[in-house]
Amino acid sequence: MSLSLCKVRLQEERKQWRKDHPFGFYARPKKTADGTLDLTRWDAGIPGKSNSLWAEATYPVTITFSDEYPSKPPKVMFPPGFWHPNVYPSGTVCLSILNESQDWRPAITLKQIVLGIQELLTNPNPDSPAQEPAWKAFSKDRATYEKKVKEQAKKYANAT
Amino acid sequence: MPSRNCRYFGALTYSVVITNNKLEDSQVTDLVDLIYSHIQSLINDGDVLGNNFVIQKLFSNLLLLYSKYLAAYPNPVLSFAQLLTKLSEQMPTLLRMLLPVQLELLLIFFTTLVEDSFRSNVNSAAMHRSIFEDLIPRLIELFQYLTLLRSQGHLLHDLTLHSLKCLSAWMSYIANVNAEIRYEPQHIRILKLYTFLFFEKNLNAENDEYLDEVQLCLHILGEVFETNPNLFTLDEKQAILGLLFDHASWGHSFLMEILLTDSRFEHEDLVNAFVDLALYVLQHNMIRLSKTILEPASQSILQIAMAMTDLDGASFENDQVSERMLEFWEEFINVYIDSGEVFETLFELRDDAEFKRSFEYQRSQILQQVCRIYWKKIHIPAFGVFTTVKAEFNSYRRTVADFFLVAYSFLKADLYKLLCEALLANLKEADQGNRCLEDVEATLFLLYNINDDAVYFESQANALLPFSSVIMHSSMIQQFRSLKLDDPSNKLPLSTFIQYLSSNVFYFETNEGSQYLGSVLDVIFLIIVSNDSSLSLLASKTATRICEKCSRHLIQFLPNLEVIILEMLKNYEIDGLIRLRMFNAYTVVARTCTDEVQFAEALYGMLSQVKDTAASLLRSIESSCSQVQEDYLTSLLSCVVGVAKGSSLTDDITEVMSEERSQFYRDYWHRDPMEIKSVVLSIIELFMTEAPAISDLPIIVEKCTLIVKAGFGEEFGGPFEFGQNTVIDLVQNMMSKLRNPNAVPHVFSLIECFVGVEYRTLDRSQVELLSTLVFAKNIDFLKSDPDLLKGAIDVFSKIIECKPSLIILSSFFNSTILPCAVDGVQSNEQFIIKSISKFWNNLLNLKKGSREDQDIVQGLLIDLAWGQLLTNSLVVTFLKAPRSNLDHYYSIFRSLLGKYPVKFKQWLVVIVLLLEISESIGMKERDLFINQLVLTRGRRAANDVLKAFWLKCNHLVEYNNQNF
Repeated sequence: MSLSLCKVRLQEERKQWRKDHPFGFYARPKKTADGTLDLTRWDAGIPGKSNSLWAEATYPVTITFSDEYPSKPPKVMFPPGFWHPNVYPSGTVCLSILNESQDWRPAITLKQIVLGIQELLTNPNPDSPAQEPAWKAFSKDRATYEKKVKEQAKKYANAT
Repeated sequence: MPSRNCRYFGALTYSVVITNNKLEDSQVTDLVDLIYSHIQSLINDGDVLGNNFVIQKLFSNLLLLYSKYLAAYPNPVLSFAQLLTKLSEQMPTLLRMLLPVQLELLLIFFTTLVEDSFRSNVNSAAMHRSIFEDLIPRLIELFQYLTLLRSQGHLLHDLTLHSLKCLSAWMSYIANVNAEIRYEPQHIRILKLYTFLFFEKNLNAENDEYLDEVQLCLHILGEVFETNPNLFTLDEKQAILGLLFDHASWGHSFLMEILLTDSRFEHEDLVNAFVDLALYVLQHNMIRLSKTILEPASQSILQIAMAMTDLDGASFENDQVSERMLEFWEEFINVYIDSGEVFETLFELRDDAEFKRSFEYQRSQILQQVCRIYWKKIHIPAFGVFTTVKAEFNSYRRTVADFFLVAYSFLKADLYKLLCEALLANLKEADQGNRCLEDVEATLFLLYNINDDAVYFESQANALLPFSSVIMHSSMIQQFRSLKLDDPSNKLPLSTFIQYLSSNVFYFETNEGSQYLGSVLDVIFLIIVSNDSSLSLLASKTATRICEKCSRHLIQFLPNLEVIILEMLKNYEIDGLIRLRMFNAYTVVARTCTDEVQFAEALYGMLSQVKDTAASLLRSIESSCSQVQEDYLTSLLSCVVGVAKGSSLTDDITEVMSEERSQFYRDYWHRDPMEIKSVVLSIIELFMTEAPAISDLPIIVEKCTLIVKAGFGEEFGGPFEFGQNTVIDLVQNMMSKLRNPNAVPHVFSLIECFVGVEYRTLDRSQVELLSTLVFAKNIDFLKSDPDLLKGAIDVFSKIIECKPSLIILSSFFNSTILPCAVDGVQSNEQFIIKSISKFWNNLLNLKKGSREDQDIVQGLLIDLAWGQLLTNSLVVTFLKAPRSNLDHYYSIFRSLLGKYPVKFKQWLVVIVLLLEISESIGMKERDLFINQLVLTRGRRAANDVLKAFWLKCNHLVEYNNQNF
């Protein structure tokens, strides 16, 4: 039986990731109950940029690919309640390259996605708010925003 | 004589002319001749090297002419060679006439030709055909001639490098070309043979010129192997395999003289080129290799692959290759995982039990050997080295851990057992005084990664329980306990140890594993209270996890835990997050007690201490507090949040509670004999109303509201369930003092949450009270900031959504909320528009409204004219709104249309006919719009009608409409 386009592409993404992935990041498919890999659901970690409020921590995300990938973008989610102006309360990331009607292109790779999210962490897009508290703090109360980001960074602090 | 820059700009001018004009054939010929004359004159200058960048630009112009006017300028290479020799002969003759410098120029011309084709992304079939028919034969003639020169020893190093760079560019084109022309292996045989020439003589590791040349050859072969291996015949592939992996081959010499020696550090690019090619070749032969592991030829190849992985036991920092080799080994294992059926068939065909046994044994041996190599590689380097390569090292071992996860998914318990045995052996050695911390650490690192990945499913966790049992039975805890916490070189081992313990929770949860909880927590708390903040944070995370998962086994430790957390409370130095985690963990354990009195005592112990500590500190602060004090006070309040969250009963607990037990729980907390609730309320009171230095801070307000929220929705009540009137009082108290607009939304969010949970039993008088004390009394303050007003609208929106009768009859609703909601329609900010839109949709649709509620709202809209006012505001704002906000208004229009079609048409007529919009929208068009909109009856088609009208009024067009 031939593999679907989605599976073929995901195998290629996995191969490419192993071959070349950005420093400090991780991404691996989840396991199923029988111990085999589920290529449509990945666990990944996005390190905060050094010298930023997000530094010294690695933020976990889950990446879910639908059967229509790569025609449709994957869904990337931080843990629910993640504090960032462009992350919905559910944890879903709001980023143009992850939006089918905006900048998503099938050629966008996993590496580009996680790097895009890393960039978004440090440089939120105030024109595309996804949650009110973080967006409002970012826009109107920078001290609280920074405090919350630092508190969150501690929660996801790197082990050593 | 013009300067070189001047000449370059002259050449650039030709590019502009060629790009921007359509030339006749005769003009093309003239232009080619003109460019040739410039090239000739630059060559005649005698400084070809100095003029190189001008010459290259002129070459690019020739290519441009070639690509645009194939018919007029069909074979640039031949004519260029004729220009150089001033002869009209064919290529083979011309080549023999060229001086070395001319040959070099011809190579550069050839190189520029193909590189520019790539760069400009030329993709015409005619061009590819012309290249295939006219240029490739010339290229082959050129390399035949170069081969001859090389065999005679007449090819100088510079020319050799130019020839290989030229070949590299062409092979890249040939391997990647995606057109109707397909290159077959025989088309480029001469080109491939040319690269093979460089491997004929023995490797000379001392000759840098030679090494530069073979580096290019390896790169060429590697690129073809990677992108289009079909360009090699089977014999050629076999030859390359032999070249790299045969005993006494060139590759073998390379391994012995460069890769396994310090020379590899001097020749990084060369090593990378070799490894690239070796990997492509290995991957190409993957299936065959994996099926023939019992054959000596394959074993020899795998041994070399292993040697490349191990690099003579080089440590991580001296090894550039092993990380690359992971790619191969992972794929090697994946063949066995993904192609199980292939191997079953293989065994069936052989029908030889001994073969199968030997095969499986050999496979297991190979994989275990690879695992051993990587296990060794991930040993912590000496501390001095570690500090300089920490990030790279962590990244490397994460990649190795990923490999072990793949290896574990195939080898399963065999691999785990191997790791366990290694760990136990090392711990035993350590018991005898030998230092094996690095070995132990490396093993624990792999074990915790496997645990984290595997134990999510119970069946897989169960398979690992016996191993955990053996490990915990060893001296591991004592060994790590004896490490000095202030020695920086122990930091990574301790961190790994903590993470292993965290990953081992699946074992501690069991009755057998629980016997180790005392010693585990003992060592963890020792680390938590150490001076190392990152280790403390990590240990606190592990402690929380253990307490959550193993709470039923930890009740006996409550007195010890209490001492620790109260110590943490007093210690300013402890990180706020750690303090919070520990309070939460302690509460989770205490909550597991079946005796409510014991739980209440634990709560009282913590909460009264928090209260006393905070009160004492607040008393000492006069007007403003320092950052440290503020952080500490915030942390105290966070601890209460942690306690509140930890106190709520999870579904797991409530599901198994008997009727009798739940009744007792409910009664107990209703009576609250130890007055826990009053202590909590007094803490909130203390922070919110008696501490002017901090009570206005958003973070303090947020924490206070989180404490109250934690008790909402508790099925059986509990220590944080305060009762409706108390919450209303609390909210009213908060709002009476609060004047920081950034803090107020937290209170509103609390009210929203309160309504969402309690609406069934709330009555109108309570909401009336809430409206008056919280909103009406503060209306001027709320009106001072659109965000505050938005927050208030959200609250009322929630009330309407849950139980409209609670508010719609209130005079405050009619006199204040509705005017604000009408005004709010005109807001520009997305969050405000969203809230307003939700409010009106809730009010218009009244999904949970009774008949009576419907009548009341109808009365408000029709009799009190709110419908007309809303329509006016909506239409005017909608037409002025930016495109990105339109979606938020559609739903209000549709709700109005769906619920009040006749009235809404009347309201529309009033405002639309009066609108001051473009004169081009006449009365007829306005009528048409109204009729079309009403016809939709509020269905989705209304969006299109509204959008079309908006576009017309704003003189805009639809993005996606192809007609604009």
